[in-house]
Amino acid sequence: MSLPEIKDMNASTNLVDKSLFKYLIVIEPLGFLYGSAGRFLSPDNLVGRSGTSFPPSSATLSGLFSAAYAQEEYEKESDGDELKKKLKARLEPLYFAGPFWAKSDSPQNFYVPTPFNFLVNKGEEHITFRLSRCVGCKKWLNQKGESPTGKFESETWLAIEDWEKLQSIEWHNPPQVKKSPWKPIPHLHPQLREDERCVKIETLENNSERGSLFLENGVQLDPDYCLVYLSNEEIKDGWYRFGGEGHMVDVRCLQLKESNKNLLKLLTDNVGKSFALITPAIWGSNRLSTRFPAEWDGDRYLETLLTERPSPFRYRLGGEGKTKRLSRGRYAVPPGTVYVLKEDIPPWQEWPDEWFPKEGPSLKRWGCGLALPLPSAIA
Amino acid sequence: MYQKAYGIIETLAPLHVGASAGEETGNLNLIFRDQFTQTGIIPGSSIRGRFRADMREVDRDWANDCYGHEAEKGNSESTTEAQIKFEYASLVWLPVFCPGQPVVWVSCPRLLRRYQQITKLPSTDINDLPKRYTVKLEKHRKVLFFNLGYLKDLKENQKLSDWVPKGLKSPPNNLVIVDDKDISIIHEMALYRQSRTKLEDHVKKVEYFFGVEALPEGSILVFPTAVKQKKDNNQEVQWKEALDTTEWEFDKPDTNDANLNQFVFKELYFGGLESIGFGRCHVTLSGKYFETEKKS
Repeated sequence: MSLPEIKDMNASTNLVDKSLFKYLIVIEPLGFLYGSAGRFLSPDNLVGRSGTSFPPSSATLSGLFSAAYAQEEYEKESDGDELKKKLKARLEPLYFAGPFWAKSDSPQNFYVPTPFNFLVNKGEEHITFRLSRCVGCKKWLNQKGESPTGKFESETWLAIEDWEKLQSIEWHNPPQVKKSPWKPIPHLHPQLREDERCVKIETLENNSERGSLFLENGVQLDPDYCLVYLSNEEIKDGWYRFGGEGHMVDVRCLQLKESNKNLLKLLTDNVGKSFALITPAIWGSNRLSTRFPAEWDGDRYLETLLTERPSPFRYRLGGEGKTKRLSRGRYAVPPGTVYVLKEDIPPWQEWPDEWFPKEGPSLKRWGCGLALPLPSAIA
Repeated sequence: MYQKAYGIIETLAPLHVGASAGEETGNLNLIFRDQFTQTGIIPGSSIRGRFRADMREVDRDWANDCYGHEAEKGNSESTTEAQIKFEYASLVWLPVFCPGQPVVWVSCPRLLRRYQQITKLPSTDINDLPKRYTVKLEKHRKVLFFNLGYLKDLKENQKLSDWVPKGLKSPPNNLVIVDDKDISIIHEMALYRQSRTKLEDHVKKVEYFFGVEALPEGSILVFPTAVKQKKDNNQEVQWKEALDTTEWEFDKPDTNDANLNQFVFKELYFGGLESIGFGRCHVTLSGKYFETEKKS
């Protein structure tokens, strides 16, 4: 038997080969995690936990990878220039997407944000309404052809295995959604005096006193659940620092299973005319955040979109030396946004780089705007 | 990536880590709790503070190197990152008074799961977590009575002792596993509670009083400790050596089992109310990082 024949016999692995994402990065906290409250927070705008950002974005995971790769390369090569070159070559082709979460015993069936055209009545878990775009009358109508009113759940999540049910035009068995499996835990860290167990109080120059209490916006993940991200490269299993305040997590790297055909198909199929985002999307230029790529404007592409208010999007760029740089503050189109276009377009992984803004690396690297096909969004 | 280690805390006196008088508006000083099981925890920052204070008396620079250098006034570049990280300690076994036994140590699958995740001991298996309402009692009984209720239909499981950490001063002998949803009420029954009064300076008259709660003596907790593989300048992190200079005792358990870790132990005080005997703990450090021979 010749080698090419063996390759052909493995035709079942073609879906994995076709997919840009090949691994699931499973993250289980060893303690608390940090929910950033620092997005666009200023001394004039200290509003408690308002705008708390959790789970950490895929940019955070990217930082974890680059720190780990840097350590690995440093051990092999200590020459500065050569090291930089090698590291660049390893970091440039990285792609991530997330954040998602899953039950620890079934990480392959992870949860993604529910598209905004699926409405869940307050306090319920079953999807009540599916809005579809009526192209003729230019309205979003539910499965009975009405515009629903009432109060609906926000920030719900849906199992990826149930995405198929969302795609179906039939409306027999609407899937269940879930709320996030984490709880905030405001966490006070007093600094004590060196010789006494009393909170340290400093006397300032103007003789006023300043205490040393530090409040952390901690988050505790339900121990039966884990955070999940998609990645195109591997990382060694082990304990890593992740997501601020020096918290530690247990990282496992799993292969996207061939048996997980549904997900692989979703990732590699054309997104078609209507699709929903499962990660935040950044469009526009470095200076301007827009709701869709400039190329979608006009007669050729965009019919309409269903979205909610934008979410702040910012990450630390790293940089050289001790001072770390922050990226430009941007506004992201939130995950769950549904786009309806006039023409079919290819799967996200084949979208041209020009659609994504660049700030250092292309923002496609953080999985910005990862979209899954949702044909049922058109009536 | 970080090297793995873990610590076991065995309380030799009641342990209170949480709010202190004045931090709360009420007059009950509560302990820190896990959000999901409502059982007591010791925050990682408290554990780090204790370790730092232990080292600081011997070598301040070394302490700053291991546990991080705080910011100096007006110099934002002066902080350094800790080489050793701690996460919170959660309960593994909690002693509860039980007439006729007289004390049983209680745990639940969720707490044991974290113990397994941190220690990865070969005798414990995440897929083989002890079933709820199984016991290992000196005198086996099917029913156990507590102050507020009873547990019935208990099944014997001799393997429960695999889930007891090695190197304890007084290892528990009566073990009970309850359901995750029952651990919080059992924890409420087990907590050590005390009313405390402040008398007026010159008259024996109560000025104010407050209640304090604490984990009881004999509680067993686990916390993960991550040791950086190498410092940024590619030098080894010398934590073992630092522990050696602060009179931590290094020991190998009295057994021929080569898989058993080397232990490092010391008595340390955690939390508040130390002056009235609270917070004395026996701390054992173990795990992969300690398995390699200590450098001379």
